[in-house]
Amino acid sequence: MAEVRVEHVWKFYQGEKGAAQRVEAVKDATFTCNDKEFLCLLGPSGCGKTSTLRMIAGLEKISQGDIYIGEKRVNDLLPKDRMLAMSFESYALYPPMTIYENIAFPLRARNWSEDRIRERIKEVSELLEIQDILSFRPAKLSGGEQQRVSLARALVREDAQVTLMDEPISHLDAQLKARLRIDLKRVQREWGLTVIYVTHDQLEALSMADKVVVMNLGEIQQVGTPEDLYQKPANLFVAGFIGEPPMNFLPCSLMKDKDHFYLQFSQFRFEVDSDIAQIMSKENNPKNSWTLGVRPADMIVGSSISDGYSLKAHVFSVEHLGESSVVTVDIDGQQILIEVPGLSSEKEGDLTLVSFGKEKAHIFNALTGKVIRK
Amino acid sequence: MPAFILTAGILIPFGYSVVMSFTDFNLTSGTSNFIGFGNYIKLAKDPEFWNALKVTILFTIGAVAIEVGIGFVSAYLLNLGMRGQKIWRTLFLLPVMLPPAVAAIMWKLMMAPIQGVFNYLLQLVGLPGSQWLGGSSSALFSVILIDAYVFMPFAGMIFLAGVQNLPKEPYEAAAVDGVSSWFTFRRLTIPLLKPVILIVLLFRIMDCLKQFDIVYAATKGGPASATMTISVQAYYHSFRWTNMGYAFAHLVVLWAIVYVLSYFLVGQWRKAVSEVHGY
Repeated sequence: MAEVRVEHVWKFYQGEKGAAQRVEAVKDATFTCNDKEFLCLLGPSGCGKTSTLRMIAGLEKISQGDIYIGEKRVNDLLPKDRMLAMSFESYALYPPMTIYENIAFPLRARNWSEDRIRERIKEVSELLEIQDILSFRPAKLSGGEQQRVSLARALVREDAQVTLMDEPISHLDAQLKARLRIDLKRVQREWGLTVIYVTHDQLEALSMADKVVVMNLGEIQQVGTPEDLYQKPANLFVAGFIGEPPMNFLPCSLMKDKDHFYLQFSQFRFEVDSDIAQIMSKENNPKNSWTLGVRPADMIVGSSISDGYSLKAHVFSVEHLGESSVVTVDIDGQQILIEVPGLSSEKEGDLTLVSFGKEKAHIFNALTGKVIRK
Repeated sequence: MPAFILTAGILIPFGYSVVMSFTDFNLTSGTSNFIGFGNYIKLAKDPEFWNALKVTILFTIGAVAIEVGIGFVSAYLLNLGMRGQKIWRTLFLLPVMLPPAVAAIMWKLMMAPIQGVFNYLLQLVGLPGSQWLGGSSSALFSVILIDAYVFMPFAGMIFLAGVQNLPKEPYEAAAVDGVSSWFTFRRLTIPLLKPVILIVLLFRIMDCLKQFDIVYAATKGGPASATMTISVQAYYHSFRWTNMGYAFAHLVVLWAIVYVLSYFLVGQWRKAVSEVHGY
């Protein structure tokens, strides 16, 4: 096992002939995946996460910057010399071979004995529940089954320094996904694997990763633990991308009344500590437009809260989701979602009180998206 | 109806040939009597026929081996993405555009023992010249070379299409897994290309077994009977010696060989296709 360091890595794709513009798929990416760490590259499609993974694997050329695996700079190494294992989103199975032979392929190339191969495949195929399909060829399998085979072929390797996974469970049904999230995490810990995992699904990232790298439009937005991302999002993108339902964003202006600063949203005022106001005054924000972010789960409906803020609003809709309910209220055309446990007793059209604790509010510069924090 | 005409158009001449092979139909005398298996019994005892069969088989093995071997390697080279790839591909295809008989005459000139360019080149590097088409031991090899020249690009182009159609992802997986290219080639590429290889074999084997034009243009089956294929032999029996019934018997035997071989190859091809698609 080894750590992976990605340092100021860029990926350009030259446009078609005549098109002057080059496409920047990855811009100045820097992060480290420590030894035996589970790192997730998370972002919407087209954010550059797969390009980053493929550069680590050596399947794409690095346009600029360096990638180290262990102490070795691997920019100029062929994929086979990087000692990696990888599972592909497109499965990349070998069509003429049975599933057993597919998984055995990298082991046969290493001259493993037949007994050792059989034992190892048994172990991995039981984990991924593919024991019953080992004698089939890939074309006979469903997408979910092929995906598990691709994962098996990556996990079967014992000599890999790093295991790369590109959306390895995206095509599975919800139940199997939930089980594999737990199993993959367990296997990663027990076998001490260093994993770099690409996904667009925040749930996968938050539940499995030790560290998450959030990307958007080729740029890294934030690197942190799942808790960091959830509780201390670095910008509006991360705040909006992480969490389901997404964070509420209220457009505000910063105002001053005598010695007190406050953010004005509609007719409501949220007090701002003077030291925060100080930081805000130094921000590049000529239009004085700020965004106040509060997570739906951090709000309550129907009562006020000490050391917090309360808003009066009409209930717009109530969704019962079984374990919890989502109440949507409307303030001057701005909809706010509140997640409450159990069944909500609110009725559509009622006037109600929405409250949240002061410390639950995140302030963002609406122009740059950057979070304002002490 | 068109299918009927088409089928009839194929079957009637074929049936006629088979019927004729059981007669002593002679162009000179114009007589045609049913003689049962007479022609076939004569064939079995005719050393000329056994020689023609041997020559045909050797010709087929030699020509197909060179065409498939070099064709495969050229397809790989053409797929590497070298500079000027389009020009290479066009040049590569040139021989296929020649009528085989013309190519044969062209090669005949180059292979001429005294004024030919081949012996001149051999001489330049200090090697003894060859009789080429004129030598009883070198003639068969020489016509094989001509056939290979004409049809190797055909094989190469079909292989190239096959190589270009190979899926990319499995190769990426193999590359990351550190599997050597030789191992990948043997265990992945060959099985994936097996249907294409079998198609080329099918076409080329059938074509070579029936070989007539190149041999006739280059050597007329000679010297002695060194390059006498079954087709050329049948031609002599029919139009030289006007013994049509006997010539037809040659062709029916040739047809039977081609049929059995292609039946076998098509079966193998079906199997390979289903393996590649994984059914």
